[in-house]
Amino acid sequence: MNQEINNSESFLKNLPVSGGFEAPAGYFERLEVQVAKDLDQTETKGVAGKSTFEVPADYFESLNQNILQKTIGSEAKKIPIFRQAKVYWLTGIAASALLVSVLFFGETNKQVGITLNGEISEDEIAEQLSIGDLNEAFLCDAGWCVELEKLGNKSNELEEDLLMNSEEALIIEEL
Amino acid sequence: MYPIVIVFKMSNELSDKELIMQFKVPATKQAAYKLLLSRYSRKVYWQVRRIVINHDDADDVVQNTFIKVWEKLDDFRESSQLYTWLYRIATNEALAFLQKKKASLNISIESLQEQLGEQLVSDTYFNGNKLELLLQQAVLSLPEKQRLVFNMKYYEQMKYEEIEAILGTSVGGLKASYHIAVKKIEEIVKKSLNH
Repeated sequence: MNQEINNSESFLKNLPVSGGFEAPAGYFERLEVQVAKDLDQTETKGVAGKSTFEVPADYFESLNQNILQKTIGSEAKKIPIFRQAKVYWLTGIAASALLVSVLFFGETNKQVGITLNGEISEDEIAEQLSIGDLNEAFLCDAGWCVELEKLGNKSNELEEDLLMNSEEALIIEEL
Repeated sequence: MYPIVIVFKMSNELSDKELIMQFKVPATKQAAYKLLLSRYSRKVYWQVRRIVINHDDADDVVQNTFIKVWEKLDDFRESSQLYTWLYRIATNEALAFLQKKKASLNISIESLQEQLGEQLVSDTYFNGNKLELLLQQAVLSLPEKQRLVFNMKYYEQMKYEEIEAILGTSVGGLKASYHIAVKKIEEIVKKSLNH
């Protein structure tokens, strides 16, 4: 008896596992996707079969991507640009202010006289300035009082608007 | 000294409460938001779709909803559950959208809902048969509040307590709304079938 079973087993082992049945190529991959879709629909549409609304293929993937672009994506781009722009703009003002001071006020000329003997561009001055150098009195002396007042009274949004619509926006864009 | 134990959890295992906590921490904010999106965008979409009917409109409303969520979740005080809060924002956004649409077309909300029902016939993303179309049109003929309650109860299979948290209407009031809605729909469907 044992021998017969052993013979049968070895016979079975030699037969193809599928027993002659075949599945279309890629069937199980598609089945997985379909089952996942059906489960989603059952879960999200309440009772299966009750909803007759449809969405375009792969809609939810693109929906999530669109939302991420408008939230995480826009925050990552927008805020640094504004901050950077503001710093550059103020630095630009400071550089201009320094030049104006140098040209119109003799005493400043004495302080920076050594370096002013050569040609100094606005950019070079801007590089040397830090945001801490930009105080209101300094900029006001250079004729930027009105602009500073505008900035002081505006909310962040309006401030950004003012910055972006000013002539300085061109400098910011270049930078 | 107590040993510091760091517990790593798979994102899917995070409860809504944990998700909100992670959102409030800058380092984990983006990951938490992505998880929230994958967990709720579909549910919110279907909720909105049943209110505004048209797919493109639903798409706009859902995107606006989740942008608001991104902006406001930091201030969420957790006096309600996260999904209740999401549904409330989505419902308000969808209703506001219909109001704007109504205003831009210069018609009443009833006329707008009737239009939406008529447009379903040619809607690419509506695959219902004649009876299902009739049912949708009947639902669209209901006053706003009854329509919301009917959708949440019948399609979303929400409990009255959950609907109460979203709409701020008492359970008794919701039961009455649902009962009246069902009666009206029954009447409309029977009437149409007899003609």
